[in-house]
Amino acid sequence: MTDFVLKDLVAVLPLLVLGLGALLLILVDVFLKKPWPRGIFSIIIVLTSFLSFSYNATSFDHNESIFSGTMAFDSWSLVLSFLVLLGTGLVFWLSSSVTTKKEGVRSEGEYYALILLSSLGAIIFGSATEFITWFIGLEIMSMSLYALCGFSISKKSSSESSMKYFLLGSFSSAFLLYGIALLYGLSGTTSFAGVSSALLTVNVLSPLSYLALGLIVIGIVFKIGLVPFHFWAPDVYQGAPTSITTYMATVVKTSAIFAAIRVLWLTFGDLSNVWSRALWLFAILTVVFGNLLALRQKSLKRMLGYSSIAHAGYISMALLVPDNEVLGKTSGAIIFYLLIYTLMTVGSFGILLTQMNEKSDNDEISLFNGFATKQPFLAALMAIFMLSLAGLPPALGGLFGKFYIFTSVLKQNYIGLVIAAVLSAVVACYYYLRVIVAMYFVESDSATFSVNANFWTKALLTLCAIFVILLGIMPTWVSNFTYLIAQ
Amino acid sequence: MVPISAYLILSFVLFSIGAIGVLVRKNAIVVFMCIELMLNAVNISFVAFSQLHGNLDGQIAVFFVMVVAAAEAAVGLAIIIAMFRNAETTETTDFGELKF
Repeated sequence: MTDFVLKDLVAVLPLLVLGLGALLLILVDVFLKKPWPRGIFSIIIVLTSFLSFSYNATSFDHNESIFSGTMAFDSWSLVLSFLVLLGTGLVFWLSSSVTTKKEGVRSEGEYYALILLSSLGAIIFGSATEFITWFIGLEIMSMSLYALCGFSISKKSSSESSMKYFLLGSFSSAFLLYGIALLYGLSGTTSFAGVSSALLTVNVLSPLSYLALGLIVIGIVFKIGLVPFHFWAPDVYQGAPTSITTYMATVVKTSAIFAAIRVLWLTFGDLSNVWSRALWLFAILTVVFGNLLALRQKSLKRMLGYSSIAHAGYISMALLVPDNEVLGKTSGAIIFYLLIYTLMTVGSFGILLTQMNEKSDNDEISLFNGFATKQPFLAALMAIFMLSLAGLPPALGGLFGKFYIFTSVLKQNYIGLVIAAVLSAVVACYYYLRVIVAMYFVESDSATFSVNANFWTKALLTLCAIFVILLGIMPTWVSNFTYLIAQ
Repeated sequence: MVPISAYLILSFVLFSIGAIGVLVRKNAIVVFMCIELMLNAVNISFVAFSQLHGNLDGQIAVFFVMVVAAAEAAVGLAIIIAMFRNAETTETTDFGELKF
């Protein structure tokens, strides 16, 4: 029995490191009055967590359930842990090298600790196999973020974003919870396996089970931010500190996508005729409206917010084609897309962050007028990220991501959906290229660019750009790498 | 003996009152109270189903939901205070900087 528990604890060692690290960080912060390198400390915590993750990935039998079936320790959760830790590490790198004080973040200790806790919740959310654990993971992740969105404490827009996220987020979790309660009522258990087998034994699903499944799907879709449940996303993304926006656009989306995979594919895969039509509708609305609404944005941050909604739309298209292995056709495409998307997003928000300052909230695209003449290096990096988000050469990573997803969706004869997605991807080029036009072809109206990029920021952004280009040249690297993790 | 359907109807009615409250009320504190009402309505369902199935899973779930609701109250009230410090109001309609 003790052996059994010990094995479980080793399996969640990366999570324990994140949680204990966050507590340690707050504790040290209380006793050390003067500023200390919290960012570097947090990066060390993430690296430690990553080390224990690599140990787990290489030395364990996968496909196991741990803690009496409440969490899975399988290839999916390993890949998820990798993506979450990568996103968290990049965000820490960004926020410790570009000083977060610029955005009015005062209590840095809590800032890093809450991000660590949020990543903990994100991994639990994506690897739980029991509804209560799942819900707790979701809440740990979201609750830290509600607070983090309001961290620019003197800015009205920041508290507005925090309030909107909090009220709408808990509203949607209440619906999710009602769905869980109904599923429990129908099956008498809260484990994923028990619920799905109970639903599959009946020939005709009762209206109540449709309602319950619908509520669960809506809860997930809200977290991914698909149209028509996207209304919170642009507002929250615009008002939150830019580093937190980066975090939400990368880690939270990744985790919600993996939660969707676990619930929709691995649990209710046999009921796909029930949820696939709803998901089809959400996906097509998202790719069309996400891109169309981004066209009219003046604020770059908000435009990137809409663009991340559209990218979530492309990924959710792939959710329509279930596949049970980590390296199947569709799941490989999703993992590739999430990886490249994380790099592109961190890069583009990172460049925006170098231009933000304490005094003004200005994040309009016109801020970048004439950027190329003043900051040729950063402008070139921004151009690479924008081209990659649009899916244009030379940064082919974004293009391959879309290509893989579209081909796997086409195989299932969702032709209309793919046509809509391709057309709106073409429309999307307009707003990405607008940034490049502003940087290279418009005269600067103000002579000064606040350069807040030190060596480490530039190193991070360059690294992201290099990987975006490399993944475009050698897309098979990702599948080889995923194979290493998930063997 | 009160039939199980009575509890479920009560839970559904409370949940709907909460949901409608979130949609129509403008004060952030009242909206927050309505969300708490929704969570507690779900708790009634959990307990009723737990009685129906004769296992304790549902009642354990209620404890977790209560913990989540308490944490939500802590975070939520802090956010509302931050809001009030910036704008001297808790009406959600007074916050319209971020739109379209």
